[in-house]
Formats: sequence, structure tokens, C-alpha cells
Amino acid sequence: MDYLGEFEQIVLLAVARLGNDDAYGMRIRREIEDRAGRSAAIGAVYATLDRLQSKGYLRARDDDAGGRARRFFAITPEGIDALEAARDLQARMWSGLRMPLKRPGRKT
Amino acid sequence: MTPPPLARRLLRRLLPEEVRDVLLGDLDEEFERLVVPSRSHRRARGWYWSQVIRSLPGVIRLRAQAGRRRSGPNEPVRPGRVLGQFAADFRYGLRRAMHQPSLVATVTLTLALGIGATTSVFALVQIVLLRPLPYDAADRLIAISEVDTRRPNSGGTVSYPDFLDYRAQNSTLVDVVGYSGGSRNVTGIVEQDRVPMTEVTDGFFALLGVRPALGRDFESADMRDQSPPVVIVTDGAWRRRFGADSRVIGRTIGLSGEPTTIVGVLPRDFEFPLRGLAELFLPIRQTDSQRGRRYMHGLDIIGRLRPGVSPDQAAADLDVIARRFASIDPQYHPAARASVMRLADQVVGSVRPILIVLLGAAAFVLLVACANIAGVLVARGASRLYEIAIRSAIGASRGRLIRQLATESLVLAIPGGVVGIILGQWAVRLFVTSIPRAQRAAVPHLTSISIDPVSVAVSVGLVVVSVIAFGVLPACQAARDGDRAALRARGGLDARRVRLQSVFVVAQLALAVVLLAGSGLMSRSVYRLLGTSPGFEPEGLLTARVNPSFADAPRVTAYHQKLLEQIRALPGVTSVATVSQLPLSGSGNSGTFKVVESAGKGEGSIQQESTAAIRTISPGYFAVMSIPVRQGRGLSPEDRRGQPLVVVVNQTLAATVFDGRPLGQHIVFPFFDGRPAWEIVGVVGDEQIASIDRPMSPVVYFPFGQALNGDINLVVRTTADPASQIRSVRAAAASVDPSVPVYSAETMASRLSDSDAVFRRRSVLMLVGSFAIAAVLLAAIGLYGVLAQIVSSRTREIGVRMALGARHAHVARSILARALVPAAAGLGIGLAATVWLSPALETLLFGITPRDWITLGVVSAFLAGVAALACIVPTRRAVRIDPVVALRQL
Repeated sequence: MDYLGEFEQIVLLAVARLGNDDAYGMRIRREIEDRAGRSAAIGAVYATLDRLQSKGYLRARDDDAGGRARRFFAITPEGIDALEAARDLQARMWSGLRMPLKRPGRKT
Repeated sequence: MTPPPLARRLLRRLLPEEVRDVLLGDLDEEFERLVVPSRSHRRARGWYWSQVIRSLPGVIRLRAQAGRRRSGPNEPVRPGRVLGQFAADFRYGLRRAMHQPSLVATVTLTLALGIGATTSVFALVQIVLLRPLPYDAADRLIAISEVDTRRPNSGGTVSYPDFLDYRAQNSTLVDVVGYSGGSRNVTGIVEQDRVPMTEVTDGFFALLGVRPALGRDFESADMRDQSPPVVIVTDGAWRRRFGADSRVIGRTIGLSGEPTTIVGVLPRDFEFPLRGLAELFLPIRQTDSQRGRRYMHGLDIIGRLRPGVSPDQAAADLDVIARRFASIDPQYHPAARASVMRLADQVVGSVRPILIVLLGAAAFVLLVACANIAGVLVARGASRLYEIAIRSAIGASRGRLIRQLATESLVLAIPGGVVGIILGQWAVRLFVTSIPRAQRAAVPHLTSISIDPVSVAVSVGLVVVSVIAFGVLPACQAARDGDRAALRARGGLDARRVRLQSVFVVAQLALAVVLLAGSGLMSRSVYRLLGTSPGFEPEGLLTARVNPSFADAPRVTAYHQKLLEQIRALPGVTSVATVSQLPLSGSGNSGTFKVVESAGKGEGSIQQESTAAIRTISPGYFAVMSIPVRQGRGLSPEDRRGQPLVVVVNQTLAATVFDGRPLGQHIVFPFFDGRPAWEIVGVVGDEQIASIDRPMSPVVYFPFGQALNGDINLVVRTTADPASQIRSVRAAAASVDPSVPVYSAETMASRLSDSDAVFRRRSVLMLVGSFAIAAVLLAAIGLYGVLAQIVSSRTREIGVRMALGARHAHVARSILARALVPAAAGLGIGLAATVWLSPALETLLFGITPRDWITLGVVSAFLAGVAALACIVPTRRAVRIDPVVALRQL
């Protein structure tokens, strides 16, 4: 299984948060902007969605809601595995570290 | 409120189809629902634009991912696959080529010609023009010249005091150094000889960034008048004259009688093309009189720019210094101006136009070769239509077919390319060795020519470009035909293909016209140049130099007299004389003189001064050279020391300074001690002193008896071949004084034909001429090929016509008509291109204008003749078609 890149993780999490009926391009972009405080270009979001889809972590479904073409995304079991693996990896790397981390060169 | 249309269109254009609508829809929705209500219009539009622009990297990724999906189900493209295809195509091309030896031979020969020509000329360009001079930071070296706007013929050189002023007062240069040339009799070595040398000021080698390979550089102590004489020798002289002996440092040799210590040997790669033949470098040991004589110009100076200073800034700086000379020395620097050019420009300035013309000509040959091969390949494409159609039918895309055909062209091109590159490198060497030594030494890097990686790389690039030029166009054509050809019969004549081939023939003919016209212009120039009278009779004349360098005048006089007697007594010699500098050997010594009004109007009232070349001659000079005496008398043996001082002037001087009546006038040259006045007693016809392609210049001839000169050039008129007299002249000179070497013995005729003026043009003529011949041949073959194909494809039709009663003349006419259009078009375009391009040759032409209609007429007639010849065989084949045989093919 591939490791997820940071932005891939963010996009995947946004899809998971929004749920099956709400996860389409514009909402995903908003979610990232609101939650992560990070402005993302729609092109970048779509490129990542496309990539996640080709990795099998997302499924897409096209729907005409209110006359406008929308592509809804849903996370697959593989996607959930990948997210969990990513979180586990982080947890393993964090565990045992005393908080807050000691900063170099600063006397307290 | 709608999104900005331009931004939206841009995004729509770039997005891959799969996501286009949903992505744009999402963006529009957000824009309308969320952005517009919360912001001003302007900021909303700004938001949209920023989304579009920031999305571009993502869009590119989307396109790439979409493209990959299309190329195979979930299979990323590996470079290996393309390479594998290439290898397969390559092998296929190789197999095909093996079955077509005649095609391979044609393409190889043609391409080798084109690549060889271009490679050789480019190798020269790379070595001479592009490679920097062999000095440290050579781009910061400048040549400084001083001209005086009120003194014509002031040559750009400076006087020693001028040099010191430039050096001390400038603020833009690291340093300024000077050099001047000459030669010395070298004794104390195995073979004594007259050797060219260069005198340099202190800091000369340091400025160039050159350190001696052995020994030391000059020091300022070496530059003083009384310091012991020292010399630095070049690597070449060290090897040739001193057997590459490392113990040469400290050895003493005689330089024109002065014992001189060798203190250094220059590194092997050192060269100084401005004094290319110099083997010795001596310090200029300035004397008091040198320091004082501001009028004595003769020093060339070069400077090194300080970092960040442009040549223009340096020129402005130095010009300020030059303008000050007028107040210090109003007599000899009334309007001195300094100017600078990059040293590299001074060194290669004269060869640059030649090389550029040659490069253009070579590029034309390559173009002709490519057009020719393209024509062949287009013709060959016809026989492959069936194969291409099948490939296309079983799913090969257009791009794939073009790739395959281009790869096959590459296979065909490789042998020609390799042969061409080898041929080119070899031709460069051949060409360089054919350059007379003096001219070769004046061009940087030529003496150590070697295979140059840059020029080889460029040649390889040329091969690739040629493949694209001649291979891809026919491939596109064939691939396009392939789409439609599946249902068509094989091998039929396609009008479009013939048209394309004809276009290539037109291009070849046009290029051939340009090359042929260029060489025609050059050959007429060379012919005119050699036909120009130099003002004397060069045939049957032997020239040689001696330089007795005796300190006392009576000895020189006695030597001179005995030498003339001995040589005159030789069998086969009709007359002999001497001159301080031979004609056609550069402008040489010149001086400024003033006319002194004779007694009537009072001594000393001075007219404006003039400059003239100065020659010292022995009495028989004019007779030996067949220079006519136009007014008064020539110089006689009676014109010697103690007699009234007399000179003879040439017609140009008589006409420009004295309105044609100079006899009895007196002139004064400041460089003679005591400034005596010389009476003009005769006017002689002009002789060409500097170079045959220049206008005549004013000359003053002094009698040897009254103006001794150590430089003695013999001119010997012989009855037999002058070259056969060299040995006896040497022997005669040795019998007078064995310590004085005779050197540069050469016939005047070969001096003339080896002179720079003739050589420059002859070399261009040789190269452009051979390029032109190649181009004409290729064009003729191309025209022949097209016609032959037309005839063979029309065999049946012609057979039918003849069976129905068409006469031979009709058939021939209809075939010739097909040749007429491309031939006429080629000639027309070629002539137009020539008229447009030929001014580039202007500097090389002599006695004709670049748009010389006679040349153009002859070239057109010649090419028309060649085209007619190319038509003969196919036309004859057409008229000889037997209707019975032809009809049976139906």
C-alpha cells in the first residue's frame, strides 16, 4: 500500500468528514479551507481526487443536481485503511516523545 | 454576476474532458453562492482568476493522468516502451537499408557532401571566430588605435610618449602595453637566419596573462637603454632553432650583431596572431630620443579593461587623453583621436566576412543535399504506400508511422553523417595547410588545429536536423497518403507526390544558382585582380632580402655596391636593383613631409603637410621594375653623399600635392637630422606598394646613396625562370659577405599570387566553387530523377498517344514542359536570392559590383544548359517508347 502524501491525506479526510451526499469538488475545497485554514486551488483538489481515485481510495459518482453537473466522491474501504495506516504511522512516530518537544538553542 | 469569461474559457480549454464540466460547475457554484455575496465584484472576479491561475499545475497533472489512462488501462507509460519501439524501428530500417544498397549509396554520398562541407567550415568558424584568444580573460583585452583627423594615412599606431601618457593617465584600464615589429639577423645558432621579432614594452606578457614556460618574463630593468640585451623566444623557435634544449636559458646569441641573452621560452600554446611569425620577443629599450620624439609613431598598443568597464567607456577615457596631445604637440598631433576595439575583433576582423560567406555557402550545400534526399525519399514513399496502408489499417497511429519512417531515415543518415564528419575534419586540415604560412600565423588557433568537440557536436546536430529536414516531411506525406491508399493500386503516380518532388528540385536549383553566382563573382574578382597591373612587370622578377646590419655607413655602402655587382655578373641576370621595401608587401614605412617654397617666395614658408610612403632605392630600380619615368629623370649613381639631395615621386603624389608639376619643388622630412630640403627631380609611374586591391598611394623614392637603409630588398630581372636563380643569387651574396643571410627569396609572381589580397579571394573561390559544383550536380540529378519518374509512370499513356499518331516532337515537348516549370522557377528564385544576398560578398569583390549582370547571365545560361542535359535521357526514353510494348502492359 502506498503512503499518502500530506495533501492526499487532507483531501481524503475532507471527503470522509463530508459524507457521501455532500462530498463534491466545491464542498471539499471549502472544507479544506475552513478546517485546515489553507487555501487550495480547485485544480489541485481535482488533480488529487483523480489520483486518489486511480489508487482506489475513492469512488466517484456523477449526478445532475439542480441542472448542474456534480461529481460526488465516496471513500472506499481501501481509502479508510490508508487513512488509518497514515494515522498509525504518525502515532508510532510520536509515541514516547515527551511533550512539549524541547527546542534547540533556547534556555528555559 | 458571471465569472470572468476569459479566465473561464482558458480553464475550459486546458482541462481534460473527463473533469471539465464538473470542475467548472463546482467553481461557478462557489463563485455565485459564496464569493459574490460576500465580496465586491472586483474582488470576486479576482478570486476567480486566482483560482484559475493557481489551478494550472493541478490541471497539468490532470491532463497527464488522463493521458496515461488513455494510453493503456491503468498502465503508466514507461520510457522503455518508446525506446523499445525505437530499437525495433531501427532494426527494421537497418534490414530495409541492406536490401537497397543503391539508395544507401545515394543518400550517403549526398549527405556526406553536405555534412562534410558544413562541418569543415563550421570547424573553422568555431576555431577562429568563436574560441576566445589564448589569453587570460581575453574578452577584456582591447586594441587601442590613434588616428589624427588632420593627418591622412596616420596608421593607428602611437609614439612612445603617447603610449606613456595613455598608460599613466587613463582610469579605465588595468594596464596598457605596446609592441612593434621587425626582424633581426640571428647568429650563434646552427643556421644563421633573418628572424621576425616583436619588440614589447614592460608588462606585455603579464597583461596577456602569459608566463614563460622556461626562464623568466621581462623585468623593468630590461627596458632601460643601457641594460644588457635579453630575448624571450617562442616555443616554435626553441624547438626549431635550439633543438628544444632546456639549457638554452642564459645562452647568448647574436641579434643583428648585438650579443643577447636568452632569458625565457614561451609556452607551447602561446600565439600572438597580430605578429604571428615573430619568433623572438625583445624588450623595447627606450632611448631619450624615443621618449622625446612624439611624432615617431610606430607602436601598437593594447590594454586590459578593468572589471565592469565597457570598451566604450575606455574609448571615451582614452579619447580625452588623445585630445590633450594637441596642446602638448600641436605640430604632429593637431587632432589626435583614440578609439578602441576588442582585441579579438582586431585579430579576426579581416577573416570574419570570409568565414561567414563560406558558412552560408556550406549551409546551402547541406540544404541542397537535404532537398535531394527528401526528393529521393518522397519518390520511394510511393513504393511503400501499400505497407503503410496495412500498418495504418491494423491500428498504427499517424504519429507512430511518422516515428517509424523518421527512424528509418535516421538509419539511412548515419553512414552519410559519419563519412561527412570525417571528411569535414579532414578537409579542414587540408585547407589549413594550404594557407600560406604568413596568413596562417595571422589567424588564431590555426597552427594547432585539432578535432574540436564542439564542432563535432554541431555536426552531429546537423545530421539530426537533416534527418528531420529530409526524413520527416516525406514521412508525413507518406503517412497521410497511407490513410487513403489502402484501396488504391500500388505504385501509381500521384500528382501530389510529383509536385512535392518538383518543389525539392526547385529548391535545389535555386540554391545551386546562388552558389554558382557567388563563385562566378569570386572568380571574376580573382581574374580581374590578377589582371590588374601592379604598375611594374612582375614576370621574370626574383626578389630576396638581405639585412647587413653593419653599424658604419661606409661598410653598408660598400656591401651594397659589391652585392649589386656580383649579382649583375650572374649569367641569366639582365639587371638588378634594391629597394627598402618590396611592392605589394604592406604599406610599410611612411613619413610626413612639408613643401618648402623655393627661393622666389622666401625659404621656410610652409604649405600644408602631407604623408607619403617612403622607399629607398638603388639607381636602376625603375628600369628593373619597368616603371616608366614620366617627368624629369630617375635616380642615378651620381646622386650620392655630397651631391645635392634629390628625390623622385610617383604620379599620385605629383597629382595630389603638386597638381602634376612637382619638378624643382623642395620637400622636408622632419625625421632626417638637420631637416634638409630635398629637390624633386622626377616623376615615375605608380606602382602598387601595399596590396594589389588598394588604390594607388603617394610614394617618395630616396636614392640609396643619400639615404642609407639597412633593409635591402633585391629585385633581379632574369631571362630564364626567376626561381632557378635563387641558388646563384644566394651564392653571389655569400661571396660578398658570408655573415649576411639571404632570406625570403621568392619570385614576384608567387608573391603576387600568395598575397593576402589574392589568397583571400582565391580560397573563397576554391571552396565556394567546389560547393557550387556539388550543388549543380545534385540539382541536375534531382531534376533527372523527377523527369525519369514522370516518363516511367506515363509509359502507357505515351504509348497510347503514339499509337494514335502523336509525333515524337509532341511527346518530347510534353515531357520537357514538365521540366520547364521547376527549372524556370528554380532559376528565377535563385537569381532573386542572389541579387538579395550578393552584397554580402562586397568586401571580397574586386573590380565588379555584387550585382554583376554578366555573371548572373552566364550562370543562368550554364544552369539552363545543365537542366537541359538532365532532361535528355528521360525525354529520349519517352520518345523511344514502343507503342506495341507499352500497350501490352495495359
